[in-house]
Order: sequence, then C-alpha cells, then structure tokens
Amino acid sequence: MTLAVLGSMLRQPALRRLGLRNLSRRKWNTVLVVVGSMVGTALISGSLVLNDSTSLFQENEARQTLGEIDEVVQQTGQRLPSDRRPIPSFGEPVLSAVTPENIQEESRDLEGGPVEVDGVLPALVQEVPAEADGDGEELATPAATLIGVDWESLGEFGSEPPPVSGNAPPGPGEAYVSEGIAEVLELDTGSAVTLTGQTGPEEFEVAGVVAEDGISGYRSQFSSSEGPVLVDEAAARALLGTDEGEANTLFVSNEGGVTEGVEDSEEVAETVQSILGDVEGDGAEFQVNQVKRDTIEQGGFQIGDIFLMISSFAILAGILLIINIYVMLAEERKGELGILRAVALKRSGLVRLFVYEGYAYSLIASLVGTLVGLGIAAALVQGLNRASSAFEDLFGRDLAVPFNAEPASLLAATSAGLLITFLAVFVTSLRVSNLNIVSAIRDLPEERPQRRPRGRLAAQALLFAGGLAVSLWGFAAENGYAMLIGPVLAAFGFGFLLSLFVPARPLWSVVSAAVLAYAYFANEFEAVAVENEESPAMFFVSGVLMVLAAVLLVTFNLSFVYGGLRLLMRLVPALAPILRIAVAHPAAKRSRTGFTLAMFALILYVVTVSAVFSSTQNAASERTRDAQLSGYDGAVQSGPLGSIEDFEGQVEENPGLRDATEGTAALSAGGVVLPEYEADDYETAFGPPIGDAAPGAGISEYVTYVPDGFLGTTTDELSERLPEFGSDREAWEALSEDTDLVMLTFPYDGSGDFLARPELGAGDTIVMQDPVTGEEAEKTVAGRIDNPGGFNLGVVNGIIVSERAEGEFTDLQAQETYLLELGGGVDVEAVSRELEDEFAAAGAQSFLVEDILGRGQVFIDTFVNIVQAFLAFGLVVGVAGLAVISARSVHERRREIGTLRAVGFKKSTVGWQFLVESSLVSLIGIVIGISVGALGGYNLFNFVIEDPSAEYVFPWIQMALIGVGVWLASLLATIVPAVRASRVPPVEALRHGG
Amino acid sequence: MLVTELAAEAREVYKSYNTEGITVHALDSVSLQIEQGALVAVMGPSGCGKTTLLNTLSGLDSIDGGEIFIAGEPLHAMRDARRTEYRARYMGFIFQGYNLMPVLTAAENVELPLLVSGVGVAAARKRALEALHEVRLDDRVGYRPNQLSGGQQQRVAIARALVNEPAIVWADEPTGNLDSETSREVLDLILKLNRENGQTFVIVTHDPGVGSLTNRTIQMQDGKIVGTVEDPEQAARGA
Ligand SMILES: Nc1ncnc2c1ncn2[C@@H]1O[C@H](COP(=O)(O)OP(=O)(O)OP(=O)(O)O)[C@@H](O)[C@H]1O
Ligand SMILES: [Mg+2]
Repeated sequence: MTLAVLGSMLRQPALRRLGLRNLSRRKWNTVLVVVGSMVGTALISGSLVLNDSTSLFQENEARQTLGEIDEVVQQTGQRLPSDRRPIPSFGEPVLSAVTPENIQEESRDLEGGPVEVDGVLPALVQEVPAEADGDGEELATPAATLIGVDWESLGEFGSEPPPVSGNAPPGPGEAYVSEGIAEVLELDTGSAVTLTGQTGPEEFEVAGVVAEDGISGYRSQFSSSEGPVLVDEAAARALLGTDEGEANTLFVSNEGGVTEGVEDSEEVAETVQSILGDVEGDGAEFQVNQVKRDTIEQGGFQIGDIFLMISSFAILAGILLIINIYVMLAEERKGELGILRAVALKRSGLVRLFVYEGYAYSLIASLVGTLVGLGIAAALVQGLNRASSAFEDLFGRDLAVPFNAEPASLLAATSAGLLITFLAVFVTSLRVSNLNIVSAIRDLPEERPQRRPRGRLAAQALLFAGGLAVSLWGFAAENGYAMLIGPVLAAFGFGFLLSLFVPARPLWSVVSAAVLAYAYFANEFEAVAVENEESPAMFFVSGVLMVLAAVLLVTFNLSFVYGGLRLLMRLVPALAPILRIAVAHPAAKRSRTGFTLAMFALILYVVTVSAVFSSTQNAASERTRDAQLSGYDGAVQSGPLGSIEDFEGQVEENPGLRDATEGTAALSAGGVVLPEYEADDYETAFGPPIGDAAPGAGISEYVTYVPDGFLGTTTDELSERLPEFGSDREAWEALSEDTDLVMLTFPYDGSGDFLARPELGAGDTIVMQDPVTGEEAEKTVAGRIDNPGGFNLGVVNGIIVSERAEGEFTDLQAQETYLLELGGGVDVEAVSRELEDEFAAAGAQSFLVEDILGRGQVFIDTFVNIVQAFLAFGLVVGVAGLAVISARSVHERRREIGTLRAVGFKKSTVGWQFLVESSLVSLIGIVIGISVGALGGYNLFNFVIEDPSAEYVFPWIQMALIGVGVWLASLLATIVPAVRASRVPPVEALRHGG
Repeated sequence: MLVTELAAEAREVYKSYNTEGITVHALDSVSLQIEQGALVAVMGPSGCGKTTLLNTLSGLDSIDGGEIFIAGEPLHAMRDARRTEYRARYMGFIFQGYNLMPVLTAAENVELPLLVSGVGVAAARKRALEALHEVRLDDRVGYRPNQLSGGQQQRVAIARALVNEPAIVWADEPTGNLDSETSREVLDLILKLNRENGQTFVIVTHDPGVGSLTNRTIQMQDGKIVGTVEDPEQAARGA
C-alpha cells in the first residue's frame, strides 16, 4: 500500500506538492489531525505490546519453574489445590517402561510420525516443612519442594540440562536450596536446614544456593511452596521412607528447547499414557500432566487479548473520529477543491490529492501512535505488577511481568494503524471528491440527487438479499456470527429499499430500534450465546451493533431529545438564542452528529460494561464470603506428613489465637474412587483433573469425615434433601446419627466449579472405594449442598460423612483440616501471622477467608482499575475528538458567527452557544453509551456468572461520576474553541466564501 | 433637538488598515448625517471605502478616530457588549451574501435579533411571522435557506433586519448577487418599507439604478466623501 501511494506520488509531482503543502501550511491543524488519527494505533500497539509482555512472562515462568521439563508423570488422583497428601510412589515396571526409546517406538503409528523425547528423569518429589535457625529465631516454612534425583541423570536431562546439574553432586547430608527458600529461611552456603519427611526430621547442610532455573525452580501445580530443595536420590529416599528403586515422579523432556518442545506435548502425553496402560497392575492410575503447555498456553490469561477486545471499541471510535475530521477538512476546502476541479483536475486527481495528504497524516499518526502505545503498555505492565503483588507471598515468588516489546508487534501495530487510518481517509476521499463542481465553488450545499443512481439501488438490493442469505445460512449452520449479523444486514438493506417510499425518520427509527432489540436478544439463540462465551469478538460485534443502532435511533429522533430544551427556552428567555443555535447545528448535520455520538457512546459502552462486571463480581464475592468454609472463618491444613498433634491445645496455649477463636472443628479428608463411574465423564474448569485421566479409570472423589460440632453448626444450605427431613438443620444433624448417610457438595454443572460429580440426587446410593485396598462402602445420599456460586476455597468438599464412619477404610491416606471460627472485630492479619508461626513448622498451611478474599478482591479491583485506566485513554479519543471537531467547526463557521455578532449576539452568547452545542452532543453520547452499556452488562452478567442467585448490580454512583467526569472533560476541551468562537469579530460576516 | 432627529451621524471618522507595512486610509475624515426616515445610497469605485464606512458606522468594526452617534448615542464610546446590545436593538443588516443561518428556518432566522434582545419565544415568533408577511414570504416560513431562491433569501434577510424595528438598516450591496429582475423586487420592497413605515436605510451599491431611487446619494472616493446628490424629486415623492 505504501509503495502504491509513494509510486503514485512520484508519477504526480504537481498533485503531490499540492497535497503535501497543506501539511506544512497549517501546522496546528496537522497536529490536531495527527492526534486524532493516532489514537487507534496507540491502542493497537498498547495491546500487542502488553501481549508480548505477558507471553514473555509465561515463557520466563516456563523457563524458571520447568526448564526442560515438558510433562510430569505421577500416580495421583489429586485435583484440588488444597489436597496435600503425599504422592504415591511406583517401581521398576513403570521406570523401565517409560523410556525415550519406548516412547518413540510406541508413537510410531501416530499421525504426525513418532515423537522424540530427549529425557526421562525419575525423581522423588514431595512438599515438606523446612526449618532453620535464623539469628536466634526459629524460621520455618510449611512447604519446601523436596526433589531427590540421581545427579548424573540430571546432567543428561534434555538438550539443555538444568544449570544446577553443573554443581558438584550433593553429598549424603547436603542439599542445594533455591533462592526462594534461602531467602525465607535466611540460608547461605554452609548453614543448616532441617527437613521433615515421613521418617522424621533430618538436618542438611546447604551445599549452595541456586538460582531458580528449570528443576531448581520446580513447584507442583497450585503449590504454595517457597521453592525446591535438591538432594541426592538416596537422601530423599531415606527422608520419605521410600524403597530402593522407587520414584514418585517422572519428568519428561520433549525434544527441542524450553519452548519448542511444547508442540509435541499432547502426542507425548498420549503415548506415555498408553505405555503406562500396558504396564501390569496399577498403570491405569497414572496421570501425565502437560505442565509446560499449561504454563505457556493457559498459565496466565491472555490479558493483551482482553485489552485488544476492549480497545476495539475505542479503536472504532478513533476511526469514526478520523472520518469526521477528514470530512470536515474536505468540506472546508470545498471551494478550493471545486476550483481545482473546474481547472480540469479529474475526479481521480482530486482523490489522489486527498490520498496524498491523508497518507502523510496516517504515516505520521501511525508512527506516533505506536510509540504512545508503547508508553501505555509500560504503564499497564506497572499496574499489573502492582495488582499481582497482592499474591506474591501466597505463591511464594515474584510474579512481576517483564516489559517486553517485540519488533514484530510494533511493526504490526504501525501497519495496522496505517492501514486503518488510511482506509478511512481513502473512503472519505472517494466520497467527498464526488462533489458537484458548481456548488463547491459557490459554497452552496450539495444538492440531493432526486433519483438515486441505479448502481446504488442495486447495491442496496444486494445488501438486503445478502443479509437474508447470510441469516438463512447462519440459522441452518448454527453459526452465531451469521445469525447475529445476517438479519441486521437484511434489516438495513430493507430499510434502504423502503426509503424510496417511506419518510426517513419513522423508517430508520423502526429499523434501528429493531436492530437494537435484535442484537440484545440474539443471545437467546444457543449458537450466539456459545460464541459469546467463547470469543471476545462476539462481545465486540454485538456491542457495536447495539451502540450503533441506539445512536441511529437517537440521531433520527433528536427533535424529541431536544424537545425538553424547547420548553427550557420558553421558561428562560435568556437561554433562547443560545439553545436555538446550539440545537439547530447538530440536528442539521445529522451524520456528523451521529459520528460524534457514536464515538462517545462506544467508549462509554465498554466503560459501563466493565464497571458492571466488577460491581456484579463484587456483589457475588460478598455473598460467597459467607458461604466459604461452611460458615467458619479460617482453616489450618496439615501437611503431607503427620498430623497436627493437638490442634485445640495449641490454640489454647497461644494467647493471640485463644482470644480470637470462638470455636474449632477438625475434618479429615481422603481420596476414594467411585467405581460405578468413568473418569472421562467429566472435566473441571481447569480441564480434566490434573492431566488426562487414564482410560477406564473410576472417578476420583474426596470423602470428608466431619465431627458433630461441624454438623451442629454448619451454615451450608442444601439444594435438596431427603423428604423425611423438615429442614436443612435436621438433615445435617441426621448425619451424626446415621453413618450410612452422606451429603454431597454441590454438583458440577459442566461449566463452572471444579467439584465434579455425576448427577446424583437425594435418596440415591453411592459406592465409594479405597483405591489402595479396594475396600468398598455403600452410602445413601441424604442431600446436596447448594452451590454457593463464585469462588470456593474447596476445603469442605466431596462426599461428607460423619466422623463416626472414619475407619471404614483401614488404610485411607487422609489429610486433616481444622476449621476456625473467629470472634467479631478480630485483626485478620495478626491472626493470620499467628497461625503461620504456630503451625508452619509442622508443614501446616493456614489461611483466613477474609484474608484470601481480600487479596482476590484487591486483584479484581486493580485489574478493573487498569482496564478503566486503559479505557480512560479511549475516552481521550472522545474528548480530544470533540475538541478537534469543535475547533474545526469554529473555523468553518466564522462567517456565520460574524453574522450572529452583527445581528446582536454578544461575545459571551456566542461562546456559550458553542459550549452548549458540543457538550449537549457529548452528553447525549454519554447517556446512550451508559444506557446501552447497562444492557450489554446485563447480557454479559447472564452468561458469565452462572450462579442463579447472583444479582445484577448496576453501579449507579460510579457511572454517574464517570458520566459527569467525562462530560466535564468534554466541556473543558471545548472551552478553547468556544473562546475562539467568541473572539470572531462581527466584520467576518462580510467575508465571502466563508 | 437636532441630534435626536438624526438616525446616524459621523464626525471626522478615520479608519486605516495596515497590511505588511502599507497603510491604507480606508476612511479619511468622513463626516455625515443621516436623518430619520432617509433612504441613502453610498456609491463610488471599488475599494473607495464604502463597506468600511458601513461597518464602522454600524459598529461592526472599530474606528481610529472621530465620533459616531446612532439615535443620539455615542457608539464609538461604547464597550463591545454594550455596542452589541445596541446593535441588536437599533440596527438591522442586509448583506450581499444574505448571511442567513443555514441550519435555521426562515422564521427562526428572523427571530434571532428578537431572541437576543430578550423577547420571549412566543412573542418573537409572532413578530417574525409578521415580518415575513411584510416581505411576502408567508408560505416559506418553515423553509431553510438552501430551499429558497436568492431573492427569497434576501427577503428573509430584510425581514430579519426589520423585525426589531431598528432606527436604521445597513445594506451592503443587497442586490449584488441577484439578477436584475429579482434586484428590482428587492429594491421595491426596500422602497416600500421606507415610504410606508418611514424606515431609515443606508444602501451601498454599484447600481446607478438604485441611486436614482433614493433621496440622497453619497459619492465616495479614496476614503473621502466627494459629493452628495440630493434628489429633491425623489425626496418630494418620498415625503
Ligand atoms: N480587512 C482589511 N485589511 C486591509 N485592508 C482592507 C481591509 N478591508 C478593506 N481594506 C482596504 O480598504 C479599502 C476600502 O475597502 P472597502 O471594502 O471599504 O471598499 P469598497 O468601497 O467596499 O469596495 P467594493 O466596491 O469593491 O466592495 C480598500 O483599499 C481595501 O483594500
Ligand atoms: Mg464593498
């Protein structure tokens, strides 16, 4: 495109000079136009650079915490972050089956050919508590990731073995600790650290502090470990009490470096799974976790995409601004252009003239815009980092997103910006060059052709027919986009055709109202709703349709809108002359007004939707706060080994905890299998429960044994219960008496919560099986807990049984959880610290609902704030655009203003008139945007928030403040043009050819 | 009192323009008196200062020296706001290019001077319709300027100039953009208003035909008034 324009410029030197002359001749004007045109590019470049930064973040994550590790093979049914039971180990048959050679052999028949694996590393991995002597003070962390590997194999793992393997192998009492651990425990080379495993505590000497890079940064999914401690295989075996020749984890490295290997991840996982399926015995219980892929593709959300979607609205607004500006430029030069045409410049020459000038603007604007976008992205990255710092100590590591801009993204942003700007200019040029020479020279208004050209009629008929065809196809093929867009196109086509016979206002009012309603209700169609859920693009399309339809509706009915003002004119005569002109201009220049309205409305629409999103989310999390932990306020969970000896006693002895606590309950949870159901029946919101389930595996489920104290006080509401119980209370208490009764936590509905279970109702029987011993127990479902909606800490979950039934599985690997009820007015942070100090050394983790939800809220709030800050830049489009437009219209209307002054308008009246005119338009745009945004937000609420009891909360106060703020900003932005208008001297009335 | 019988009076008015070092004396010590009810034509070669005279006498433009009185009040001593108000109340304007607001209807255009003088919306509309009736445009009240012919537009402009019953109406080449027949119509209208309502007009024109219809013709050259031709016959007919 650039070449085409430049080539054409070379061939037309005279036109080129004429076109480019305008740039330097009117510098201030050029600045305004460039600023207006640059906004779109800035938003595109900002979003792309943000994407670059987050992908680099994910890549760094992958490099730091995994390195060459692509898949992790473990034998476990654990799928909850709160499940911290030890990982079972396996022996020789598995170790000798999963080798690079076997994987290549087994994958020979795969479609894409055999997959290559360049490392399989057996290891013992477990989270263990670690302690050290700080300066006289006991330092402890509940979770360090103990990794025991054969050092020699580690040095051969993958094409780029982890750097830590370059160190001397750790001796029998030695350990390498990661920087994270070293920091928390204040360790240095030579200091001592005590790790506690199944066989008891053992002291290690720190052989070195290593950077987190590859395996030396490894943590299992959802882990809150402070970092790894690497020891020799034998030392780990001794600490965990594992038999010789056994491991509990296989790290697999795909061929290729840190990031390339991920491409084969799925094939490798499948192959390993099928190899394991062939291994005699318990091979079916293995899961192959594609950790690298998860980290790179899903680990972080594609935040830049969200921003790109959000900014699409602002980008569109920017395009409208560009069109508006160029139309004004063209109209202003109409006389000049008409003369050029009269002196025999062909229409194509006129187009070229505009194109050259526009191209120069677009080029400057896209370059400047890209740089501005870079700045926006840098600010956003900073904001993100501030948001995620709320979680830093929860995850035990630095979550800072690095600022990263790929040259390719900058190039893409520049060219996209150039393309968009230039297309807008080009189309506008085509349109304005269509002018009538005589009326252009005499500065008369363009005459409307009485008959419409046949070509246009055909195009309109085609639009109608095409729209119909697209809708028919869309409904037949269930394509959401076609279903949404097709009927809209057809409606417009129909409108154009009808406009031959029907007056414009009623016609377009009906068409636009119908389009607005359709775009809003289209969600009722399954296919549209699905698209809406899956891609942000649909949200954009339906939002734009709704906003534009609303703008069209208002534009054609401005007289109604202004009706109230007429009343005002009657009541306050002093306002009459101001309002008369302020109203007449926007009403007469309908398309310009429509564009300006759309500019404001589009941006306010997303602002409103995002505000609704956060307010609705806030309300939901308020409600889930009460539903967490069955009404208790906090929990302490024992670590993978050993239990907390005497929880109540320890609480009693700690004065800080004793005073804060009002009650406790101890739960014990373990993993069982539901042999009657197959695992691949369900998925969780995180995908299948940690890695793909092996074919034929039963559903893994938790069983939770609860004490009478819990059953007597829990506030969990039931969604259903056996008819013999008169109330939820009765049903809960019945569990105390009858160990055959169970309560199920709320069901998985296929889209929301990660607590999964096939549909079982009150009165059904359910069979649980201990996966290790094969013991079975049959229970009757007494009821089901109601879905609290939103966030769930997942401590009380699975199948709930009275503690009296504990022991029905003799060998169940259980994990203890202690629930705490706190008194009112307790200092949450202090209690949190106290719990940590008291129980961390035993490997126990503790948290308070208030604390966690508080952090979650901080994150959501910050995120929404960043989105809105980003949008604030979009608002600049509207406000700056309005300033540009009113500055141009002052210029355009000098002669009119002069006349007004001559017939007796005072300076101040003229100034006010301009101010009122601009701010009325912006006010109407703002109101449209917020109103339609409330509708769009309601739609979003309907498909994003599944909880049926969730409430739609419209943030009245916030939106009123934003609305008024934007309006004031637009008022401020038009003050300068208004003052300039008031300074136009009355003699200007005599100027000819305005 | 003599002074109050004058619609406008200029005493030794000076006005010069300075562009790029060259000073043009557009008005060079111009003095003149215009009686109430007069119909005055200002003529002279192009660039002699006719438009400047009109602009300064009407207060659209400032002067460098001298004094201007409109209906006895010293215009030259007024601040801008006061002068604007004064203009709204005591003067009307007719321009060569009509200068109607393109976005307003004929009636709305005519109303403007009334609205800025604080006349209520309903009363303003009533008087605007009367003025349009006066210029025989009753059937074009709701039309926009681009839906009117040149002559019709100029008649709307005349209605606008008259609607506030000004002491004096300034017209700068009111027929300059019109063909001879339409010019004639517009001039007849002005003559009629002058005769029947005693409305004072000052008309700048190149058209000698116009000059012959007025009761006084002021000749200008190089920023000076070089002669005044009283037409007793016309004056007698007008009286
Ligand atoms: N704004 C201005 N700046 C500089 N010089 C001006 C300006 N307006 C008028 N002049 C000069 O003042 C002189 C008188 O101009 P004026 O417009 O009054 O002439 P005129 O008699 O109305 O001419 P015409 O019959 O062509 O309309 C001319 O020489 C003109 O060049
Ligand atoms: Mg002149």
